[in-house]
Amino acid sequence: MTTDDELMEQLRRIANEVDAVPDLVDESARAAFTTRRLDDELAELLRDSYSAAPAEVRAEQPGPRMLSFESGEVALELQIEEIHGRLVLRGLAVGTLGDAEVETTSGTHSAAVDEQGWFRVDALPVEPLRVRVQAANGTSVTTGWIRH
Amino acid sequence: MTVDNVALLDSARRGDQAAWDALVAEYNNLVWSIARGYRLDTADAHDAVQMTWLRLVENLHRIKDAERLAGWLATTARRECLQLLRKSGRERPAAEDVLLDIPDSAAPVDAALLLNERDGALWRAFQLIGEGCQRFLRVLMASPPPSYQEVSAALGIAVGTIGPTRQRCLEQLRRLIMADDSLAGQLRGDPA
Repeated sequence: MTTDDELMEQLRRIANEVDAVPDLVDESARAAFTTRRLDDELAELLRDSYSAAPAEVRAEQPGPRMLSFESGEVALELQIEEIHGRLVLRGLAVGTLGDAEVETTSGTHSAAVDEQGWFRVDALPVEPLRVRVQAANGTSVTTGWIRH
Repeated sequence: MTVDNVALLDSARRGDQAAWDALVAEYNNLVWSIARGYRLDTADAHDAVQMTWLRLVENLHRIKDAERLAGWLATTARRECLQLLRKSGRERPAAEDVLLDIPDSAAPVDAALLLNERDGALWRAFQLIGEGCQRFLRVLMASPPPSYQEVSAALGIAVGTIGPTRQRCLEQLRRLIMADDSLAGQLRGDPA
């Protein structure tokens, strides 16, 4: 009789044969390292409407996703919506200087922040993104990666 | 199989890509197995795995206990999987429960790929057991074999339940195998 351990070993061997990690997945895991930012302050995620509401509620009221981040004097409100296979990002930055930078895993987009603190980037690829702003004291503040 | 996480994390913090690659080589199969356990298709599983490693990059300096890195990755991977399932509205309220069904979104891995007929039959039997057990066993199938702490983190279940669950799920699998004559002979130890 095959023992549990032997059966588990057979399954592990088969999984390695038919469901191994695809090369592309290994590659993007290795490439993730290039997103390292040594000097940036990671803003704290205070609220994510996608984590807050149960799925049923969202299904009835499909709307943009709202996220709030904070770091020291900096506050960021983000609104993300998928439209026709692209992401539209609207943001409100408080306590920042200059432009906002929106980074996806495939590139970086600069967004002008207006006097009220609003910024917007249209037609982003549907992939993980994060937003980087400069605090009034010169520190760079980055949100964590958001996967919409 | 034991890699020195402390040294590797330390080198990665100093910017050593080779050390990072070594961590990926050691743990990406576990992270992938978790995503597949949650029945994500290849594209979604890819996303969940990528997000897990991106999160490790942004938290590289916050990981205090390098010995628990695998558990941290497993917890993060589970959260990313649940987030993806939630997004596509497939998640049900108590989806953290290992025994709860999540509708199958993944294309079944093709047993026809297996050259060995017995392996094919065993894999087909695996795909017929309950979904909770499939998820549980798929995580256990990671290479190198995950510790119970890692399995606990990957599935959000108590360490103490893992042994009994493993026994119960393998028993389920055995019953299906016994219904399959060609496999049953092999498992009884009959000559091939």
